[in-house]
Amino acid sequence: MVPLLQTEKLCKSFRVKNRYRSVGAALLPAVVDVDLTIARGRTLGLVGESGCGKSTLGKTIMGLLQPDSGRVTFDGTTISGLSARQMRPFRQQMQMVFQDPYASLNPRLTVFATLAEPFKIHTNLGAAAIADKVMELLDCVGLTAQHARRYPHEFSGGQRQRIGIARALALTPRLIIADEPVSALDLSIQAQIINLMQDLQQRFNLTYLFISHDLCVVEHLCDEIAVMYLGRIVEQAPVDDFFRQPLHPYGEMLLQALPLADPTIRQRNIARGEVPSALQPPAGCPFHPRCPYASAICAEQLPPLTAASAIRRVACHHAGQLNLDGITTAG
Amino acid sequence: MTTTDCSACLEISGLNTYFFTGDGIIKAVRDLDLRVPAATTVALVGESGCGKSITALSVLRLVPEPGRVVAGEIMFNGEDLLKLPQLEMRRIRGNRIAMIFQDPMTALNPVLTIGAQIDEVLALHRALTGEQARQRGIAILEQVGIPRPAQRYDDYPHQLSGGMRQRVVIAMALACDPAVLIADEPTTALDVTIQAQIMALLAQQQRQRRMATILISHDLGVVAQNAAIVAIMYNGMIVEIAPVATIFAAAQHPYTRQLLDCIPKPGQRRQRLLQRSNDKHQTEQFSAPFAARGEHIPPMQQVADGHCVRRWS
Repeated sequence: MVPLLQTEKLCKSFRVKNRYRSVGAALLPAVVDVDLTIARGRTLGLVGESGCGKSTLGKTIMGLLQPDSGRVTFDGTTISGLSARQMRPFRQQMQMVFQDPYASLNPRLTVFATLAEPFKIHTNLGAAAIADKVMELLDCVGLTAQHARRYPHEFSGGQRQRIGIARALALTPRLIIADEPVSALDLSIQAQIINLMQDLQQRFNLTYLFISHDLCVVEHLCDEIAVMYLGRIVEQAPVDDFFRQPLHPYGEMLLQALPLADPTIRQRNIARGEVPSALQPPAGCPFHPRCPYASAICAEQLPPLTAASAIRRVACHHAGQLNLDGITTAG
Repeated sequence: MTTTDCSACLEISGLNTYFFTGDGIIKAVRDLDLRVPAATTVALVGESGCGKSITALSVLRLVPEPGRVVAGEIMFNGEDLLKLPQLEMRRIRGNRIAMIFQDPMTALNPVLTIGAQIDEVLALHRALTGEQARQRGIAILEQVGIPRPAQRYDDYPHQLSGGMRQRVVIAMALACDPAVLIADEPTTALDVTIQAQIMALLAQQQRQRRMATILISHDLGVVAQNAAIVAIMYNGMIVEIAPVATIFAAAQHPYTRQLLDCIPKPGQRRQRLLQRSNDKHQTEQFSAPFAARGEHIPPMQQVADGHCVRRWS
């Protein structure tokens, strides 16, 4: 069966202009050679620190950014490089939920107008039919008809995120790319939105690409995890396997840095150094300056992302020899 | 909380901070009692708007308009901070009681070098200037783990990464060896690996200097790993306070339990739904017991040594 979404060697870089000099615009490689596959009805969690290219990858897949090279395939059809008109039918099938529920809704539109817009653009339903659809959507995400007449500023952050999700669901998409959808929310509201996303996935057989920096949320919600570092995927694995034993030293560093909500477990803290500037990525393995296991080869050669087993991939020269710590879980 | 410990460095009792807005009075902090012993980290935990930060600002007497501390007493070094004249308060603020803010980019002045900003603290409270201040400033930057501090001293905030900026903010807070440190969400703006580094730095400095620390956080993971005593706030009140192990193992207040159930824990199976998920009107439901009883706030009850809970029923 063809995977719902596939990227091959996807690259995207930005020109960063020097504000004070007219020449010498630097090239910032934000996404480098990314191969990802998401099967129907599954959830892939994309994690990494700020600036690693997670959001750029999401936007490039959506077609909001044009890739420099490489290919995005949706349900067997190549969609990268399509014109806006050609892209239209695919836009109905892939939708995005954004991080900031305050910035991603138009403050001048009522909830009704926001949710009716997709139907006006993509369908030829009449006003009454659209109104029915909007009410149905509100019901799906746990809001009521009386909310429809209000403006975004009248809602709390969690409610706004529900509206953002309702808007994404309007045209019954098959893929939803959620870019840090719960990061701006309080803990209990976060839990509600995560649960809502799980319920909707089952109900509508949705496929998610879930972008997050929060490993605990990813563990809870996702089937698979892909770890990004400086624009590259360095590890991909089923979530449980990754938490039990990561294969990439960066995976171990992320897991060990997690503050566990259990005062009886004191974890080893091995995080050192900071993410280098993407403008001058280190030679060889991009992670080697921070890696406690680095050797001479790491500074010289870039390790390719290779299959470590039938279901796991890792980009590390020493992947075979390392015995890295995961998180031993209680309960 | 433990009556045997009389070396409380900071003791807040009966604190009430209200905001007098055009739409009515907002009671941001209500009947708050908190003892922070020396060399101990006390965490204030709660969701946005529960009054954590206003509690901290009340201690420093920096509550913004139209807010006002309407009652209470904050004892520090045998003095009530709320009764001190403005000038005396300035002598304490940033000197004996220091604060670390959430966002290092807004806490630092973008047009001054980090050296100049540390100098300012030293000049004000230690009367150090010139070369002396520079040497002291560089020494502090080194203590907070900034590489090549002598060169960094002349850098502007925008030349540093987020983690390094937060280290500078910590350096400024520690410059005068405070007895009390208030850290308001010190790592919320940072990535997880940097967060681990900053929390390790804070813990190390706290041990070395035996500071009484108030850690404000909404992240129960950070709290579990760093605090000794945890106070759970809801709606301006502390609803439960206990040693960290007790909070995570034997919480009594329903709100504390709900908060703990909301954390997606590693190893928790995804089929297991979080507890606060299914009630659509949880906010209303949750405040119902409070609203129904109007203005009456039940007192804290001690259920075990150092473990107190407010019970509505």
